[in-house]
Amino acid sequence: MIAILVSQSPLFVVSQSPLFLLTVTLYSAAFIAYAATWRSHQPIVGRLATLALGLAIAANSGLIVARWIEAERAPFKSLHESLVFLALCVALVYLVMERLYRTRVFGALASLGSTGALLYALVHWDAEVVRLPPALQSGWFIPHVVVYFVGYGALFFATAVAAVHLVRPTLRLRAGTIFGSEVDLERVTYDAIAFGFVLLTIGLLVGSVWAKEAWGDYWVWDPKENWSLVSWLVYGSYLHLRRLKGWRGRRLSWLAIGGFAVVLFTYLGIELLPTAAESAHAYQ
Amino acid sequence: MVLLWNAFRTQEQLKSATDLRLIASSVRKATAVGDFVAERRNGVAELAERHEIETYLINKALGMSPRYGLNANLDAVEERFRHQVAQKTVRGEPIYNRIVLFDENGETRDAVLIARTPSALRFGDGLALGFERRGEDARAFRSQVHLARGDQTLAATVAVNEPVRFGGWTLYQVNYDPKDPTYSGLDAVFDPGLVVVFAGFALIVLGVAYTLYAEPRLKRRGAAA
Repeated sequence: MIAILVSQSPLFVVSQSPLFLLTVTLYSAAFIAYAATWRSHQPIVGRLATLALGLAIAANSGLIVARWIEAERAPFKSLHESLVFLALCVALVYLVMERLYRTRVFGALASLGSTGALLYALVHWDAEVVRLPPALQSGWFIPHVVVYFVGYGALFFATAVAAVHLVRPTLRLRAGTIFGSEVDLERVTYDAIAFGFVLLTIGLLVGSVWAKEAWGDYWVWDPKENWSLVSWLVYGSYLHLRRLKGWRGRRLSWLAIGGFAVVLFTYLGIELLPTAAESAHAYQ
Repeated sequence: MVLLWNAFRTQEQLKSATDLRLIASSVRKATAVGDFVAERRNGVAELAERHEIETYLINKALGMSPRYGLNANLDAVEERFRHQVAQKTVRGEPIYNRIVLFDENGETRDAVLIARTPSALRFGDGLALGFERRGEDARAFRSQVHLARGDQTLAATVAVNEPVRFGGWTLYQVNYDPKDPTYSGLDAVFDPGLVVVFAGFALIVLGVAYTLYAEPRLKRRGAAA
């Protein structure tokens, strides 16, 4: 009895996987360093933050590769596996954006997101590798999941920027944070959402092609399907309201955050629905 | 339009390295159930040394043909396996669903394996697999179908994610009952518009990418000129 209790405690679980512990530690270190860039005048602080995040990404990739080899299938099946992959996607998308916009302002939120995903993964530790059910044994499995998760990473980034925009509409930060000149927060949010929306569109259609191949139907009203359609529509309305109705400012940022709330529900909340058991997307 | 098919569903469990490594990893991880696993490992060694299997291997090594004797040896081996399945239980529940003998090429005497469980345990060196009882999981659902339309006939296997196309129709494995291996749910779909729909999908992706990326750039370039 005691053996079982010990074997299920997070501490014991982490002691079984030093790489997992290392990954969480590196993300946390990146978070601290990125948060320090908000106050620091030293460029070195920012570089250390980026270095820590780069190392965290390497360790996170190592986790995924190890799991891939162990499971002998893409490690996107269980909630634990998908959270580890999400942490990587959030960090990778952020790192690209850091280069693109030449700012480290959003690094703290990105590394916090990755740390959070991994801590949640720790609670949902997999004792054993789950086999892919027949419906998921398909060449569409990897592109479908990868496209969606990179999209989720981009939308997380957009949400972080929108949140910063709500708190501080005009950003003037210190030397450690910004490489270039001032950042147009609304523009960055829009760009990230546009990118995420393209990926949501592709993911949705790839899923539909796959459903046709697996079951002979493009759409089977699976709860995950329905909610991914809802999140697609919310972000679609974001793009339309901005472009056609000229929405700007706080209400648009709120819409961006609301869109991500729907994405989160699509990703994690489906299990709460009474129809979850029938879903091909339910995590075990 | 005459389309006929008869099907029998098989929850198929095939031998693969995946099964073996799967067990290896769960053995490493499931510390809490270590004793249970160790006990089964002993069972493995015990079974590999059974004289039915030894006789079979010796006769095979001597080059005995299946027709003269080797099949009888196999019958004895399978009887031993059935006994082992019945004998090995935990709290009244059998541990194994089925134990199957494989030769060095991974072939079995059975064309179809029905196993309700996903994982297998190796007995001896490449000799036999025991299928662990684990829920109602199945690795694959396949139906062997014989299709006929006029003079055209086709014998094929329909599986989830592997539909079979015949005479403009597509057969999908859409339903199955893990508890009843004689039941199979197939969908026959006639969908000549498939290409149009997929072309529409491609257009949606291109349209979204154009609106969000190409158009703003073209406009900016036009404004600059």
